[in-house]
This record gives sequence, C-alpha cells and structure tokens, in this order.
Amino acid sequence: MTTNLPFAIPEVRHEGPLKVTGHARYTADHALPGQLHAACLGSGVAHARIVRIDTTAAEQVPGVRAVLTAADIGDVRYGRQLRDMPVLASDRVRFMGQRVAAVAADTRQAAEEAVRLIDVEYEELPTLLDPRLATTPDAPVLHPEAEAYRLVQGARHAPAHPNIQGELVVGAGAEELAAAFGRADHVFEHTFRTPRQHQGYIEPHAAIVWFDDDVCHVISTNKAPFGLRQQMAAATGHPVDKIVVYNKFIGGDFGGKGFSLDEYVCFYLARETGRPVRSIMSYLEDLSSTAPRHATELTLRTGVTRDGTFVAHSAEVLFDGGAYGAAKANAHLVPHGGVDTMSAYSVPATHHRLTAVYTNAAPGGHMRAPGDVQAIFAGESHVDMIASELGIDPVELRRKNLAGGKTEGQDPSETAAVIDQVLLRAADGIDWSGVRSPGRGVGVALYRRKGGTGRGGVVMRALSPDRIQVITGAADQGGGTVTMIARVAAATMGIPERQVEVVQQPTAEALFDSGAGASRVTRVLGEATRLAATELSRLIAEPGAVFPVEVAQEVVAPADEDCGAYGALAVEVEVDEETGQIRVVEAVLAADTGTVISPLAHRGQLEGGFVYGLGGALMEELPVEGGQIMCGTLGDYKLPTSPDVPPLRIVSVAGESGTGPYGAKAVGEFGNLGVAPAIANAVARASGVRLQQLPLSAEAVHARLRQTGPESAPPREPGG
Amino acid sequence: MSDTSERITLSVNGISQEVTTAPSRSLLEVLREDLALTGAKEGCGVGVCGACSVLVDGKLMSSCIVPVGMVQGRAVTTVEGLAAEDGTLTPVQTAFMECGGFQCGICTPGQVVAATALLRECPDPAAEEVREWMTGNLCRCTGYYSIVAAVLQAAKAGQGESD
Amino acid sequence: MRPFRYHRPGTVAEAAQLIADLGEDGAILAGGTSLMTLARLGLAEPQHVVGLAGVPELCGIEGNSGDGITLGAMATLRQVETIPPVRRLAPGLAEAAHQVATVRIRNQATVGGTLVHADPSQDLPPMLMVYDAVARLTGPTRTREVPVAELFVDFFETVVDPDEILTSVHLPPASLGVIAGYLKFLPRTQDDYATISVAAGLTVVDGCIDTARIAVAGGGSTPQRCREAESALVGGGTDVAGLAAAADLVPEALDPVSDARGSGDYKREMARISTRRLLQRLVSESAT
Ligand SMILES: Cc1cc2nc3c(=O)[nH]c(=O)nc-3n(C[C@H](O)[C@H](O)[C@H](O)COP(=O)(O)OP(=O)(O)OC[C@H]3O[C@@H](n4cnc5c(N)ncnc54)[C@H](O)[C@@H]3O)c2cc1C
Ligand code: FES
Ligand code: FES
Repeated sequence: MTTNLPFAIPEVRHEGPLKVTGHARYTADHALPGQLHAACLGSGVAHARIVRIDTTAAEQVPGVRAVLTAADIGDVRYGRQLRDMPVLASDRVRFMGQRVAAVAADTRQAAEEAVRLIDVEYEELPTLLDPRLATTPDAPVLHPEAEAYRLVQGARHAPAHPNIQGELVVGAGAEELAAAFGRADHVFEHTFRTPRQHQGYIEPHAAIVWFDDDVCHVISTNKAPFGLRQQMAAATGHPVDKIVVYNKFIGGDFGGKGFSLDEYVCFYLARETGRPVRSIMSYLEDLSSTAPRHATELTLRTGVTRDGTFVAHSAEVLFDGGAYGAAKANAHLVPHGGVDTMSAYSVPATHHRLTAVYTNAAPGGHMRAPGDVQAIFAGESHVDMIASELGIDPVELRRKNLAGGKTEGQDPSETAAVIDQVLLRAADGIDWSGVRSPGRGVGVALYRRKGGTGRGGVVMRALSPDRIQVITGAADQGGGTVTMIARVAAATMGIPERQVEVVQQPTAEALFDSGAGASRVTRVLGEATRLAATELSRLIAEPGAVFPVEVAQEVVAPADEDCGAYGALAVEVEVDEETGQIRVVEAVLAADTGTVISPLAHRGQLEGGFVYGLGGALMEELPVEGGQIMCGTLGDYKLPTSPDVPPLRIVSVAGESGTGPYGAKAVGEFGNLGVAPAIANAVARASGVRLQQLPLSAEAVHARLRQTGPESAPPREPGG
Repeated sequence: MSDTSERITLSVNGISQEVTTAPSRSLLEVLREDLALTGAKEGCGVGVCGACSVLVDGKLMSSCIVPVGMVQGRAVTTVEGLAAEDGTLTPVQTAFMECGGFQCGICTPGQVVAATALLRECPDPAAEEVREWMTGNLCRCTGYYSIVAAVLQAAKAGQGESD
Repeated sequence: MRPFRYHRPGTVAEAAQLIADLGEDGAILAGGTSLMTLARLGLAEPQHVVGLAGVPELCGIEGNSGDGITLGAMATLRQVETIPPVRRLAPGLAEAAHQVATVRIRNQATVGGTLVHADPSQDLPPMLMVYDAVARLTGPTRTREVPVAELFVDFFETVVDPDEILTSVHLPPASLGVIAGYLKFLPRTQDDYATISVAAGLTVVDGCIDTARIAVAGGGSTPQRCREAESALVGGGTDVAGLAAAADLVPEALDPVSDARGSGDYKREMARISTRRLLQRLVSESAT
C-alpha cells in the first residue's frame, strides 16, 4: 500500500509564504482596539509570607486601569493537572519571579512604571533548594495546604510527604528484583545529575484576553488550545463553553508552551477593565518564571552476568519539581520519560521509582522528551561504564542485550533485528573501529522513544469533488501540522494537494485535540485525517452525493499503545587535553522512523533535535543560587549558533511500521535524545574522563583531566 | 514622568513615516506597535537572538536595542519590505521555502533579513562564511543545516533580492 | 525602561556643551548596544541622551604607515574589522574586532562605546593595548590623551570624566610593525563573550624577541597588560620553552571573577594556555 504514495516529493509548507515574508501573525503580533498592556510584579524572594501589599502609588500612575492582587481575585489556583499554582500569590511566595500583583495600563511604559511602585512586605521563610533534602525532618514544608489541592479532573491521591509533588513506581516487586540481582555476577551502580534547562524557544510567552459579553476570548502562545480552555475553566470557574481559544502560530514550544501563566492574569484584568488585555513576557521573565526542564538526580543499578547479559536493573530518579506541580501534564506529576533508562534493552527484571519534590525554584515543566533526556543520558552512560568495567566493546555489549533479542530458545525478534541495524548503521557511519589520533574518540548511544498518545480529530468537508477542507483545532508550533494533514488527505483521496485547504479553527468550532505535544500530532491528527479522507472519498463517490459533504473523525491513541522508534547516535569528538574543550567532529544518527510524510519537516525535526540535544549536552544550564536564577538573558543562557554545529548524517533504517497514517512515526522528541550520552561516552574514550553530570563543559573535563594529573595520562576507556 | 515625545521621521521600506513618540523606545517597538509592521519579532530583547533584525541604511542591526531616536532621518528595511509588491518572493525567501529553512518561523523574518544583507555584501559566499554571518540569528528549531543550505541556494539563484 | 530625551549635536563642541549642561542626567549614546541593553534591563536610567551619530568629525578611520591609524570614536567595530588600512597595517586589531559577538552587533557598536563601556571581557581593549593605542578625550575645558592601557579603572569604569567625550583612538606608527594576534577562548558558543582572551604583539629580530606586548581580557576588573611576561620574552629566543615560561607568568597577574563562563581558577589557567598558544602562533608567523 505504501508503494505509490506521493510522500517522497519534498513538501511545500502551506504557511511558508506567510512565515518568510513576516506576515504570519503570532500572539504578540495581534493588537486589539482599546487593548491594555499587562505587567506583573514578580516576587523578589524565594520563600516568604506576604505581610502586606501596597498598591496605592501604582494606582496613581497615569494610564493605569487596574491593579490586582490576590486580595482582589481570591486564592485562584491553576495547573495542567495539579491545580497548585496561584494566579497571584495570596499568603506566600514560593519562588523568585512568582506573580504577586498585576497591572493593566494604556501603555507598556505605564504598566511597568506602576509595577515598580508596588510595595510588598515579605517575612522571609527558610528555603528548600536541594531536592535531596525535601523529605528530611528539618525541611520546610512548602505547601501546608497540599491536601486540599485538586487535579483538573478531580481529587488527588495524597502523597506520603507534603513536599512530594508526584511519584511513579513501576516494575518488578521487591522479591523478584532481589532474586534477579541475585543472578548477577556483577552489580554496577552509578549516579548521574542533569541540570535545570530552559526550552529556549525564541518567542517568549504571550497572551491576549478579552470578553465579549460573557464569552472569554484568548489568543496565546499555548500549544494545546483545548487544554488551556479546560484549565482556565477549572481555575476561574468560567464555563468551558464560554472560553474560546484561537492559538494558531506558536513561535517554538519544545514542551514549554503547554504551560500558561499570564492568560490567567489577563483574564482577571480583562474582566476588571472590560478591555482586551495583552501580556508579553520579557525573556528575563520567561527564563525566571516559566517551567524549565527538571533538574534530576538518577541512581542506576544494573546486574550483569559475566558474559555481559543484563539480568536486573533499577533506577531511583529524583526530579527537582520546583515550587509548583502545575506545569506537569500527567496525573502522576512526574516526567514520565524517567522510566526509559534502559528502554532499548531486554532486561528480565526492572524497577523504576520516579519522585518529584517541591523546592523554592520555578516550577519544573516539560521540555522535549521530558524525563527521557535525563534517563537516556544516565542509562546510556551507565551502559558504557559497564562495558568499560567488563572490558567489552560498548557496541557489542549493547548488541548482546537488545530488546526482544534473547528469549531463550527463540530467534531474536524482528524488533531486535531492527535495533541491531540501527545500532550498526550508526557505528559504521562513524567508522567505529577506525584508528584515531590522540584526543579523538567515538561514542554511541542507543534508545527507544515511545510513540505519541492522546486524542484528536478533524472535520473534513468536500465543498465540491475538487475542493476539500480539513478543519482542525491544532496549533502549529513549527512541526508542519497543516501541511502534514493536507498531504495525508490528498494522498488518501488521490487528489492533488492544492485541492486541499487546511483550516485552523478556534476551540469553539474544531474537534477536540490534545495539543501539539508528546509526539502525538502525526499519529493522531494524521490518522484521523486518513480515516476521514477514506470515508469522504466513499461518500462523494456515491451517486447523487449532495455537496458539501462532511465527515468528522476522532482518533484516540491509547496510552499503552506499543509503538516506538529506535535511534542510535554515534559521534566522534576531539578533546583538547589542555583546555578540556570538547569539539564534536561529526555525528551520525540512525533511526527507524517509519514512513516519512513530509521529508523536509522530518529531516528538520531530526536535525533540529540533534542540535537541541547538543546545546543540552554541552552548554545549557539554568543555575539557581539562593533561589535566584543566574542566567537572566539569552546572552548568558547560551544556545548553539550556526558555526557551533557539526556535520550530521542521517541514516534511515527500514523497520517496523508506525501506528501513524501509512506507518508514520513520531520524530519530534527523538533527535535530541542520544546526544549527551553519545558525547559523554566519546569523551571518556577519547580522554579517559567520565562525566556523570551535564552540561559536559570544558571546565568540567579540564578539572577531571587535572585530577588525574597532566603527566600520568588518564586511562582511556577501551576501544578509544 | 516628563513627556519626552518628539516627532521622528524615517523611511521604512521606502516609505517616509512620521511618528510622535518617546525617542527612547526601541525601533522594534515602534515598527511593531506604531507602524503595524510585526514581521520583526522580539525574542531576547538584548541584541543576542536576531529575531528583530532589520537593515538601517543597509546595515544589519538589532532593532530591539536601537532607540528610535537614533534612526531619525535614516532608512529602515524590514522583512515586509523585501518581497516585490505583487507578492513575488525574493530568491532568499524562495530558498527558505524550498530548503525547509524554518519550522515555527519565529526566527525566520530575522534570518531572511540577515541572509539578504549577507548576499548584498557578498553575493557568492562559501558555506563557512554563511555560517559565520548567520551566527547572530538563533534558530531553536532547525539546527541551522537547512538555513545554511537555503542561503547557499539563494546565492546560486542570483542576487539576494529582486531589485 | 524609563523614557529619555534625545539630543543630536552636529559637532564635538556642541556635544561637549550639551554634556556639560545636562550633568548627571545626561549620557552619551554612541551605537547604543550597551546603553540600550542596560536601560532595557533597568540598569541605566538616563533622562537625556546625547547621540553622537550625527557628528561627522567622530566618524571614519584613517591610516598609513607614516602617521599610524586614527579610529574615530564613532567608527563601528565592523569598520575596524573590514577597512583596508586596519587590515593591512594592524591586522591583529581587525582580527580582534572580527571576534566581537555577531555582525549585527559589530555594525552598531562603536570604538568609543567599546572603550567607555569598559566591560573587562571586551575584545578590542587588549588589542588596542598591544598596539600602544592612545585615546583622545575632549572635555569642557581641555583635551587630553590617555593611553588605552591606562584608561580602565574598574568594572565598567574608566578615567574618562562624565563630561568628557572620547573623540578618537590613535595607533602610533611605531606600533604597526609588530606581528600581532588575538586568541579568544570560547568554550561554549561562537557569539559569546570570552571566557578569557589574549592579545599579543611581537617583533622578532634575527630569531630574538625584540619587543613584546601581552594583554588579557576577562582576567579581572579591567583588561590588563602583563608586563612581567612581556619582560620575560624580550631578549629571549623563540623556542617553545621560552614562550611557555613567559606564559606561565600570566596567571599571577590576573584575578578573574567566577561566572557562567568559568571559575576564576579555570580562567587563569586558560590565560596561561592561550598565551602560550598565541605566542607560538605569532612566532611561526614571524618566521614566514
Ligand atoms: C549581544 C551583545 C553581545 C556582545 N558581545 C561582545 C563581545 O563578544 N565582545 C565584545 O568586546 N563586546 C561585546 N559586546 C559589547 C559591545 O562591544 C559594546 O556594547 C559596544 O562596544 C558598546 O559600543 P556602543 O557604541 O554600542 O556604545 P553605547 O552603548 O552607545 O555606549 C556605551 C557606553 O559608553 C559611553 N560612550 C559611548 N561613546 C562614547 C564617547 N565617544 N565618549 C564618551 N563616552 C562614550 C556611553 O555613554 C555608555 O556609557 C556585546 C554587546 C551585546 C549587546
Ligand atoms: S530581540 Fe533583538 S536580538 Fe533578540
Ligand atoms: S524556525 Fe523556530 S526558531 Fe527558527
């Protein structure tokens, strides 16, 4: 069936002309008649009781239309799942930058001036900044009222300690695990740390909210319009069918745009003033108060037999959840990907405990494969460290343990054969066994990324046999959703793509959609389009069909759907033994990513993902000291620039087909996953320095090189 | 706050404009808010990311850190001023489309303006020169490969602009 | 940010008068890359700015081997990077200018702004020190000349009085014969400020080092000449051991702050390594 599909021809982005001419309108580009400008006062302390807020002077500033505090709106809490985040802090602030008061004024200058004049008296409280201390007896309790918190969809299971945000325990029971470890000849245990990181989208959060009678209208940077609508309704009590969200162009997401802050503030300011209210965050506000990737500590244990077979594995994963759990989108309130420490391997008994705890820092959120990035850095470093200890080549050790590869008495499954190919193509691509000059080395990381799940739908309408519309409520954060839908529709109906128009509609008119996240768009919306198009073709072929003909189609990808893509990233690095600087010389990404619907977007996701991972591996870190973030601008929080990027080769491996339309698989959260461990492994083999902490900075390498002494060259891991 | 407003005249995309405003406001804010030219975006706001790139008297600059008082009497070109009036895209814009040089598109106006400036100064750059020139235009989506390819393709296709 | 008024003098005299009249409320605005950034972050709140863009006498770069090079205060860093007299006569300076941030910043930032802003991590100051450059200042009552090596007092602080205008920077003809180069250590991204950077200039006569200049940026509260290391070089040969021994003296002269670009200790050590590498490069260039 897939032989005659037109997908090999590079796509032309439907919204492309708008984007290259500057006419695509993002949230901050909208200006409504009579609109006011919002500005917020962020807390200047990390943990304190609010004694008093004086807004008198602020109210006097000419042009100021409203100044709100919790005293005006009440203790309103919101969240993607857990509703623990106040729109405006009521009795306490729990992180620096938390919104304490909000102003709407005729001009941005007036709003900012008013914010400067708001006077808050704080009584500082002891801070909790180290997640490892969160459940110790002396730890300050951040949310004494935690028991009353609710999920968007109902009551919450109370955690064992009030400082625990969320927890997920999966895998074998204690006895089974102990027995499995008992069969090991060696048990290896290593601990890894990853820092808080910011998504680094170029468009900061923004929102415009206005009321039309009792209907609340929202344009914002939130990439999941239906989710936002539901969360706003849950928090404010405004009826869900009286909230309309129009989000269309999102200027980069990477997980960060699933969480909204100022939509809520704007809601109350708009309601108070009767005027449209627009808030545009500065990048400083975005860095300090939106939801960064969780800093994480992971302790991995693996039991291995003498010949290198993995027999048992456990992982304790501790996430720094920050001051609120509001930014996490699942009911366990942990970044789920933390369970993927060994997902490419077959291990008879595994056990994972993921815990997220409260600390006095910005709320932890989602960032491009949340949890997976941390888990795969740890897991794939751990595997290489085991290989080194056992004296086995890292590629060979992986091959021995591939998922689906070694059920007793059976041939390896098809899956194992595919993973093996993925691994070997990456290794061959980087010339794994080649001879290298001193200071150079290669490293590899192998991983599985699960497919997307969630719900979404489209409405398809034939206005005439050659004019087809597809209506979707999805926002486009850059993945090319609109074009993908059009290509699937055209291919399915056997018509030219120009006869298909994709219409992005607000939440009031489109079918529900879980939002552009968790790698679900192609899987869910693409498949809905394929099914709808099939049905529409049938209907319009019927004799006497009356136009317009309409089909609505919803698709649910269940959470337990077993569909993943395997990737292997191999890199060659050069380590400057005097400065510690790591240069990635070349990278090869091999992947079984299924049928490709839009070749440019597909390649773009893999390339962009790789560079995203490169930043995360080598430089990105959002340190917090005493509750204060130490990187206030993109001048300090550095993102890779074009000359920083090494050559990348992408190798497609034919594998099992995906569950998306025509066998497509998700690639949005894929290309970044192997980068940090592959580089860490290559550095170890090039220089003997094994780093168990990100970022892999030059200084960290240098410090370790010095520890081992410049004269006594450090032992390299074998095969370097 | 004392009123600091003054009348500032400047040419924007070849059209003479007059705005009465505080000269301390950024050129970016005036373009976006007063002249409704929202092609240039505010990303970092401090000269790093290039989303606000415009040409001032032909020179590539960060409009977020140019006070509008500084461009009194000068000529500003924004992304909106590149394509022909009938909407025909420039070779740079076409190449960004054909090479997949954007995803979310928020950086794209800045990339297109920066690439246009490069090809005016150096019509046939090597890949290395393209990468270096584009250092100041961050893109978080593409990883830059397709952007560099687009600029090289535009160079091949002729001048950076159809003027 | 707080709004300010904008003044547009046409001559240095007018500008000087304005600055004198405005006193504490006024600030000079050159390219604006620093001043606007600080104002936007709420770290500077001038009520008046005196924009120098319309003062022709401050623009332009002139130079020849007989008179040296004069950089107008309003010359952009991009001009310093690309203009033929600089590239030909002071290639080290063009190289350092090329290393500043991005082409967008270089199009906007000026020679005067880069010196008076006095961020100790900036690229041009150490290189100007290597070329024995002298800044010319005009105040309400006098003009004076200050060597760039004596311009800096502390973080973001110079000897330039608030009512003085830096009008130009002069590279004397005698300084142009050196073989100079710049090494900016950038462990993160290409558009970053230096973790540490080293500028050096040598003259080599018959295999012997005749004159030497070494200056470091990012090594403390100001850019710094490393005179001990310079002395160690002069009169010596160009062998690696000699160069390394001189480079070993550099860290002692420094007191860098720890920040996101590296700890103080690391920066010191990188200054040593960068100096040795740069000297080796210059020596090998001198041989060709
Ligand atoms: C994003 C970014 C990245 C940067 N990266 C680097 C880098 O990698 N390397 C580097 O070296 N620098 C870097 N810089 C700093 C840059 O070099 C300076 O901002 C710039 O040189 C200042 O020049 P300007 O003309 O813009 O000065 P302005 O901002 O106009 O002025 C700066 C200061 O100097 C005063 N001043 C200006 N001209 C005169 C004069 N003629 N007489 C008296 N006082 C005067 C002003 O009053 C003000 O206090 C970066 C800046 C930015 C914004
Ligand atoms: S917004 Fe101007 S450079 Fe980033
Ligand atoms: S296309 Fe999204 S940042 Fe460049």
